[in-house]
Amino acid sequence: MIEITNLTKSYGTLKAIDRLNFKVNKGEIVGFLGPNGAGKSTTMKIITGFMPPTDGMVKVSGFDVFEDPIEVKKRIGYLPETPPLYTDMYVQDYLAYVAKLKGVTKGKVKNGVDTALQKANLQDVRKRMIRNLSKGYRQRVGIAQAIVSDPEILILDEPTVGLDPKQVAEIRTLIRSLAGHHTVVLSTHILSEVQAICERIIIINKGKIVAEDTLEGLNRRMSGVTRLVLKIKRPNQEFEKSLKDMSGVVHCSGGHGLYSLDINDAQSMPEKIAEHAVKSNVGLLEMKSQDMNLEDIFIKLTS
Amino acid sequence: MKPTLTIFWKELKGHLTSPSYYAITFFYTLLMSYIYFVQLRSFSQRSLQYMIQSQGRGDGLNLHQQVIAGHISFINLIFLFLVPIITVKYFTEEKKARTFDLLLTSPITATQIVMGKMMAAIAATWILVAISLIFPVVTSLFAQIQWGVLASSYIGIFLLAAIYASIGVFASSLTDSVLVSGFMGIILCLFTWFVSWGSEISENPLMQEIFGYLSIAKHFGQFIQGSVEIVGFAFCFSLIFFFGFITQRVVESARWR
Repeated sequence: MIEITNLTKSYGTLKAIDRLNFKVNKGEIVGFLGPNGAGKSTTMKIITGFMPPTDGMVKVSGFDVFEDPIEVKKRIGYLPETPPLYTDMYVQDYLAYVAKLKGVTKGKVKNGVDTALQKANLQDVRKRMIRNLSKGYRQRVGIAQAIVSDPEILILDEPTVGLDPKQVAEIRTLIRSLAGHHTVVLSTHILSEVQAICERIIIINKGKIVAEDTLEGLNRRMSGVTRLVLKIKRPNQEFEKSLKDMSGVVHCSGGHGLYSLDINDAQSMPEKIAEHAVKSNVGLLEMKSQDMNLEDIFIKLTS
Repeated sequence: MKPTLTIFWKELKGHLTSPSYYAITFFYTLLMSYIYFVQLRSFSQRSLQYMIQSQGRGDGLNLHQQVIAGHISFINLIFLFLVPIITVKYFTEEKKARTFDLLLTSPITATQIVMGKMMAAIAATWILVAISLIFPVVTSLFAQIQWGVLASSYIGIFLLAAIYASIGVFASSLTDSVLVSGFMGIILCLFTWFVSWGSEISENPLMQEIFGYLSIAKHFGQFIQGSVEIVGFAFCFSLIFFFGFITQRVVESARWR
């Protein structure tokens, strides 16, 4: 469905993305995960034909984005970082306008608008002016405009930003329900979001793909390492050294009584460490496990 | 053609549902009413004096020359400033609200975008020109109007308004700042009137002739005099086409910049 070969985009000397290669198959939901400034939005803008690449090629349904931009754009629904909303229009008029721009035939516009309103749960505000809507509603109008033309491919740039937890859950359910019929590429910097929605994950950092795998595959890669936070009352150098030397401790950082330990066995290691701390009589105050964040995953995946 | 019309209707509807367009129209009409009234009043006084002096001989003063021509020149003067202000939002607001992204990722070409917007801008200014027709029409109820000359003058002002509208749309495509683009639009509109001054510094007769043809004042003057010439149409349409074309290039450039 989407084929990307050696895609590069540079702004002057800065390389926003550097020789990306990946494929998205029909009906898949692919998550594009990366920290801010990793090149997620840039990649998406290039796929949608908004921006040309410096080098490389993008093919959507067999059409080259720069040879046949019109054919490609007909097949894509795009939600940019900032939803493109005309604030002085009514929600339903706006959606009808977008549908017509996307080339929906006249008889099907009304149906498309109704479906999009219903899917994005916007029926209550269809006759309101966009200017008067809250941020969450605006985001949903943004999603509605992406799906109003019933495109084969949906490109969603951080679709749940600015929504409250209930709306986030609703949008995630909505996106999951689109799978199969639509091919979805969505970007996010929230790990739990891709875990909740996506079948396949592409992790990108500093313009390069650092990992590309299914959710299970990635979990397998990530399993085996757990992070513990350890707090003690009476730190001493001997104890610190013994912590670092302990077998099973992959990495130890911190000092002055507060340590962060990466351990490779979540079952037996916490017990051993607790025992060791008690035996050394350093005054164990606290020990808890901590989720790995994105940065850690990059470090783990790239190292 | 369909996307062009979609954009055209959306933009025109945007004008017709926006309070600012009505506010602009109100003040424009107010000013025009005052000036037309003053001109007509002073014409009737002069006309009366002339009749007394000439003891009823002769044709009397020319209403078209003294009132209608002034009325149309006055519309032109307001439009130099008003039209760039009306059209300033066409691209600046799209860029500010990021809705330009929507247009550029829709299956439409830059030409369709520009044509739709330009047609809407021209329609919005033509509405203002059409309103000004009320004055001569009402005058015709109690005075004799030369309809032929009136028609040719109005063809002139319709064409001129379309030129200003295309200049305004072009100016708005250049930046995302309303202020800068409005200012540029006004300067460019004024420039169309001053280009012909170049003929005064040129000694080459060919250059003088070229500058003469570039003079909007010359072509507009002919329309007001009641002479409808192909060259006038050609001049106006080429200016509109020229600004449409460079706007299309600017919009298209967003794709490869």
